[in-house]
Amino acid sequence: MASEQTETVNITINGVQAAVPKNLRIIEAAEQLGVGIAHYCYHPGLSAPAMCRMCLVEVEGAPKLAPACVTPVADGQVIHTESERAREARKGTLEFYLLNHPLDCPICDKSGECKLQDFVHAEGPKHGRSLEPKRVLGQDDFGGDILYDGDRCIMCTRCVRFMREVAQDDRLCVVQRGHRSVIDTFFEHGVEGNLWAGNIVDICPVGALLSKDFLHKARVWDLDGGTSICPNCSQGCNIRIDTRDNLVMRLRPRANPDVNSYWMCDYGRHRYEWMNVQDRVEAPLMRGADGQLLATNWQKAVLALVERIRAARTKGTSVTIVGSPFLGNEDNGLLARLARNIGTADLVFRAERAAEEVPLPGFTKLARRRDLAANVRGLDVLGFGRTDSLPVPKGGVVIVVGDDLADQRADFARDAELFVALTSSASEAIRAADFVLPTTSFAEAEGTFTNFEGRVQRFWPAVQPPPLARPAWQILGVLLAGLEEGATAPATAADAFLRLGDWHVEYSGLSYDLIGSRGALINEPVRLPAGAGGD
Amino acid sequence: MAYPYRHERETRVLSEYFGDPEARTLEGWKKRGGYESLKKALAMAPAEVVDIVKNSGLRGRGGAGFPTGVKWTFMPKDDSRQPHYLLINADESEPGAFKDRELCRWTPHQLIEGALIGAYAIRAKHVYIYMRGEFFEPAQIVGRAIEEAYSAGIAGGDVMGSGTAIDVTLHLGAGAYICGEETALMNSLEGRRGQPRIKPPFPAVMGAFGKPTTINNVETMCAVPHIVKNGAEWYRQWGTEKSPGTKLFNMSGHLVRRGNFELPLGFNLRELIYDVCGGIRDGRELKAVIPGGSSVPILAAHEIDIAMDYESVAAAGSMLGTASVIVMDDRTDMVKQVRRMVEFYAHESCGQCTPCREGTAWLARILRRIEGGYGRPEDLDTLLQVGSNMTGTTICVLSDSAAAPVASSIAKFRNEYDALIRRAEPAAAAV
Amino acid sequence: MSRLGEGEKAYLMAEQKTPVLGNPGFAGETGEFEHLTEADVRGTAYVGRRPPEGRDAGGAASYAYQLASKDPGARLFEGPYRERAEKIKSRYPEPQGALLPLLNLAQEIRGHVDAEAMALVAEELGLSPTYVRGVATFYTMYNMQPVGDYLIQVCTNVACNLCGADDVMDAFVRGVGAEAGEISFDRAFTVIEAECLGACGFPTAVQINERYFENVTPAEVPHILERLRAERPIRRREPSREEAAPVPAEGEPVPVPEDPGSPGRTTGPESNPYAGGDRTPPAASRPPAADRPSGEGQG
Repeated sequence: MASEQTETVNITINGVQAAVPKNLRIIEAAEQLGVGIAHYCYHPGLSAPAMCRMCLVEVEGAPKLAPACVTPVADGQVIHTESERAREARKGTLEFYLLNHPLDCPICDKSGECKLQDFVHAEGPKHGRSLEPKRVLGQDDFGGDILYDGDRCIMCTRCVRFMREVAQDDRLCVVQRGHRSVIDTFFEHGVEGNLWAGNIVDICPVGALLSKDFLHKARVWDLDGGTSICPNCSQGCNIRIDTRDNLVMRLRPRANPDVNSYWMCDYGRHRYEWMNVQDRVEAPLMRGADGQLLATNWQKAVLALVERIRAARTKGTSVTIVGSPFLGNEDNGLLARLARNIGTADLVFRAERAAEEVPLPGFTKLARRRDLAANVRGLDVLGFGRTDSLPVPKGGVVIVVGDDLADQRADFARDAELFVALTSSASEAIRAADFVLPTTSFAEAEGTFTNFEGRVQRFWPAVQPPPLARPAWQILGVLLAGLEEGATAPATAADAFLRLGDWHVEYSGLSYDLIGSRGALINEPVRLPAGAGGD
Repeated sequence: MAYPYRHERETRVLSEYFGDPEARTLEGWKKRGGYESLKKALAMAPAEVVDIVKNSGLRGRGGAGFPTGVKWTFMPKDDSRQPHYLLINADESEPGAFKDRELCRWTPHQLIEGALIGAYAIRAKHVYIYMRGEFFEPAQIVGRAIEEAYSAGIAGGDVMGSGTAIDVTLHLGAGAYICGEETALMNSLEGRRGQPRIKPPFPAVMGAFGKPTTINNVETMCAVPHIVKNGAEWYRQWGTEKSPGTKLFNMSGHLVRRGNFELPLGFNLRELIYDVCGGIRDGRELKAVIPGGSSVPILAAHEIDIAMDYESVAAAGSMLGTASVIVMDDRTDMVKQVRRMVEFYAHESCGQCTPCREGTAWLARILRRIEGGYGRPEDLDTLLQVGSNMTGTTICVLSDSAAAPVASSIAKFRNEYDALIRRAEPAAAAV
Repeated sequence: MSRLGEGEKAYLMAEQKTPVLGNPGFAGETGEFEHLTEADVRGTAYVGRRPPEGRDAGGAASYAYQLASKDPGARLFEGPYRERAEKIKSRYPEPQGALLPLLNLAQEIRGHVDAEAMALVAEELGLSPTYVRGVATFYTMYNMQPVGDYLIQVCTNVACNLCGADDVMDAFVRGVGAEAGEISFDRAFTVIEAECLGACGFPTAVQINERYFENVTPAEVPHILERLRAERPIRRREPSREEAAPVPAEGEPVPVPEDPGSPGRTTGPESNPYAGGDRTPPAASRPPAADRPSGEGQG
């Protein structure tokens, strides 16, 4: 792309001259130059109908104000977004929006992230002068997770266009016309069953489309959280995790043109409750001489564990390692390294697999993948083998990281010589371990996932871990430092990731800086065609 | 059966056979010289036909008055890569206009002949006559005429033995004023909601079904055979330099004689009302005139000494539009009539653009409140400002059309608003 | 056009002193469509004789024909309608072009366009039912709910309004005994206010089903209604459950039918929970305006 010579044109926006690519529309060019133009119907992932009339700008020489969302840039164009005419037009249009829009912001979920609120606050009329009663339509259940509040709707038709153009499942339409227009479904057939419908709540600029799941759950200004990657399938949609009081409230897509555009599926979106599990392992637990699993401190636990592993390593026992596709490459990478340090290891992980892939027709790079966990490809790169049923260990060292073994019997590792579990929550099977070390969960940690196509993407912490929980890579790094001659523990996740490059050619040369916010592809090992090799 | 009225000052070109049922049949039409123009056109090159129409100065009769021949030159010269379409706009819905219906029901072959000539000129293989759905009777008549034209080999695979294929299809709408707007009409023809499209792309580049398209009004097309037959200069004997030819004046309201009267463009409006139409009914006085259909600014009684051509009416602060003259006598309740017009626009707004969708309904509500006796003094300023916010801010001009009668009636008949509002003051205080 | 019985013609003859249809330009009056039967219109013969494929794809696509004898349960696009549907489709370069004509056809057969009809049209054209609903509700001529045998649309727009259209509207509402938008008790009529019908020179213009009645004055309204009642077709079909209420003879007390389908509309076609009620109230319920112009002298 960078090598490609793009033709540019010179435009002037608000007195600032700049060269912009030729094929842009004014609204896009303005955004590139840091000039925001208010809009409702325009959305970069959808067609532009130019009907909200908010993005009208003054173009010198044009008799009428031009809609910035459809007007292409042209050489020598002089654009004013803040002229008297443009501002008066926006103010007038905002007054029209407020005619029938209920000012029920106190009970509206969108309040705080509502574009109508924002623009009216910025430059709307300060007083309403309409004496007429407002139109009252009430709410309509659109099926699935979606609730429609017709009173708040500003008829931007983003939702209709999303379903038609992107989901390509025409479930919404504008019925009636003029001021009687409302968004509706085909009578009682709603959007239920469509895996992508949740996106219409995100793109609704006002509180007309609501998520039943998020309904009245939180005020958005109380939300905290972090930037992340959806952990629920191997697509790796870029998301934001919204939290309140350290609990995950909702997942929302973040734009990434290489992975998920502006969208994510409802399967991923609605699977966040597991991040809120309260039954946590809160301190390192160690089985004492009396056979009791007792809390201890990290120093004692790590020292004791290093001793036990050394003893086992000397004897040359078998090693069984269980990794997790819900943990980052850093965690699983250090786990694999540790396993090799101990002996010939059997590296396995489990991941649920759906019957079929569900692609998004309007953006085919995106699909709900069959692997229902984020880091399946990452584990594959690290040498883990996928298994449907965990082997019952016959003696030796067993290290389970990130898999809570909830479906296993209590005597899962009965015959193991040493059973270590690094986990955030404990199950029956885990309570039988010799060491139970509390780790941070996915949402609490920093790290990377490698998605189905080998794109490494970073995620950041969104919630606070319990005080004594540590990232698995840190625990494993400390253990490795104790077991390997001259080794040091990585100090940060970035450091841990850099080490992967030393051990796995796929990651060599990659760093957190390089991955950035859009991700980077792993180095594909060169595979010579059959017969071309020297052997 | 005589057509309702004829007036000796009329120049009947298009409307010559109004009231003559025999002219509706193919046989009758041929007897009256029908389809000779088509034959003549087919012997010429398409560009020559375009030139004749261009030279005649014929302007679109649908309201905008754009020169028809010039419009035809916008079409690509090459039709080998993609088909061209000609759409005939018979979606006559502008309050005050009732000329196309009469043309369709009395002279269907005149329309078909004009359409075939137009199609030949712009190299269109298919003509769609988009008629409003309410026009069942004109549709039957035009539909039957199409059948006759096909049976006689005038339309279809080999138009009058020329080897040119032109299909003609009558398409009925289903009740939407806005489909008279040319891009909305194309959307409607394609089976979409009848919402106007953003221009560019213009229809001649990307029109109906994504192909080059020209849209012409019924009356425009009905004039074409006469122009082709008699030449551009012949047509220019009527009208003015910039607005040549004859025009059907749709006269309605409080007139002694209502109906269609065909007169040269530039005819004096006062004479039109008092001479041709016999003046105001019941011996009343004239109060106001809407000269071009409900979308144009209202003229007060003292402003009617104007020539009815595109330029002169514009100079008088209104528009000729479809030359649909609605005449109001001195008993007319202006506020009520303006409210009724605005309600129409609110009902017919397609609902795409916010200023139109919300603005038309808001204007109607304010006017209804004033009319109902709950007006407030500041309402008039609000009306004017809302109207101004609706003007020039939308994709099509329906919103401007709704604002026009409000602004012009407040400017010219403010006393009627004031009287209602003054009477309302005690009541309005309670609002 | 008019399908008058002998008795009805005699009645009209007797009424000649006050012509029922003051309509100088009405094509039907010339006798051309006197013998046009319902079968002509509904069959394939009249609409579109052109072959369904080949270059001669022209002809009329459909008529927005509204018949007094509606068949709400009729099967669409089967039997004689199949051929018409095919012909209609053949006239457009893309199937979607046939959407309005097919909806017209559905309404012609059933009298209104309901969810099932929309779904069938959608299937016929390879569109989604939702899309068809969005298009159908845009256009006011599609009745989203059943209407009376005669749908009476009174133009009250400016040109007719100046000449007393409100009084004509009132006369119709009084004459059928039902509010605007409601089906009358005998299921014969639904009266609604209409926007400009394009007959401004002949006020007041009234469209009754597909027919235009022009120059209608309030005094003529009872005659028109009487004529329509006489013309009204006898139902040939077992009434469906919701229609089971018997049609009472003139003058008999009328039972109140259970009517799920009263659309309660004024001008919008679809009665939905969102009916944004800010249209003009029906003329009959408007407060009498003292200074309302009384319109022209009434014939």
